Amino acid sequence: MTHDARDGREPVPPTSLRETGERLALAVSEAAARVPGVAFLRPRLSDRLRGSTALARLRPGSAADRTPAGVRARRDPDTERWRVEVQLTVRAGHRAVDVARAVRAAGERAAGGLPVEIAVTVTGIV
Amino acid sequence: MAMNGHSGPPGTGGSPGNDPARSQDCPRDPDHAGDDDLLPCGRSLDDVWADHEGAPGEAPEGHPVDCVHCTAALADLRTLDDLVQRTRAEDENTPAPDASALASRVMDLVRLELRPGRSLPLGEAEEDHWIVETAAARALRDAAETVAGVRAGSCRVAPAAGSGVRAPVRVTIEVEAGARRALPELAEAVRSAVAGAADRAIGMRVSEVDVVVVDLFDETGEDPR
Repeated sequence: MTHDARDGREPVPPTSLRETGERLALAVSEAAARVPGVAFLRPRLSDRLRGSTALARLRPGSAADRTPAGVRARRDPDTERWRVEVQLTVRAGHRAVDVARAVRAAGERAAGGLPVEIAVTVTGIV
Repeated sequence: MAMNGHSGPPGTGGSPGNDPARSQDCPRDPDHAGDDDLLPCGRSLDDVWADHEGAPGEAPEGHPVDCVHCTAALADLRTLDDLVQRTRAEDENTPAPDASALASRVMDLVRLELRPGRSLPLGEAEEDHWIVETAAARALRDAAETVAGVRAGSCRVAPAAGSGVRAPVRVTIEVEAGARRALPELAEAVRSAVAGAADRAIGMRVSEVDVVVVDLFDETGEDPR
């Protein structure tokens, strides 16, 4: 790997970006799951078809067990901001939009100062 | 040992024979045994089990009949066999799982994953929150059914034609109506229940609610058709 050290600035290595994204997704996921009215974050297809723990055992270290369910974090290379998409199911009796707003606020707090834009999609009401 | 003394994990290169389970009687490292597990006495589990089932396996010449390893393994195998027989008997008493139902459930999940329905704007125009159409439609159908004499049918929720993606949505709900109530009154009650739920339960801005009465039913319980 080569490092571009011109002007004393080094580009952020892709691996570090990926790790930041994974940490951010995990932090937002944990914060979202604690918000009142959130039933659960949307499981991935692989989680639904087989136990996620079984998949993790089968493919330890794979992307499937590093990425938390229901949260995707991507960095916009132009704005250098992180866009975090959260998909979740809301408990009946809680107003969906209020839960989404609370999740956004909790996610922003959990981002630890990273520039983030959090979008919440309600995929179900149970 | 014929093997290189430096190979293997620490602690395994010491003098052989200290640990009975790893004595010279045990021809292979149990961690790396293949499919035909060998007992410490050198016989394979397959042979021991074959003997038990009446098909004599390849008992080594002079192998003790009361070998403790064979006896212990056989006891374990009997326990396992017992469990298998019991489970098999239970399975025979329960109806076979319907493979087509399972397949259809799996396919439903796959379809939902690939095509979760349109995302509709949740909250105000400048916000970035969404609700999938299936979730919104279900809540609105439930709201329609709180009106006496209404059975909700299909419910479509979509941005009004020609408006932006974050514009208020248009709801089209089909209902079957009980014959006891005047239709305009019933339709208005449905419209009000749906609009109320969109605001109070979801938080989705609705521009209009179209109620389509597709059928009538006899509220005494029987379908008049």
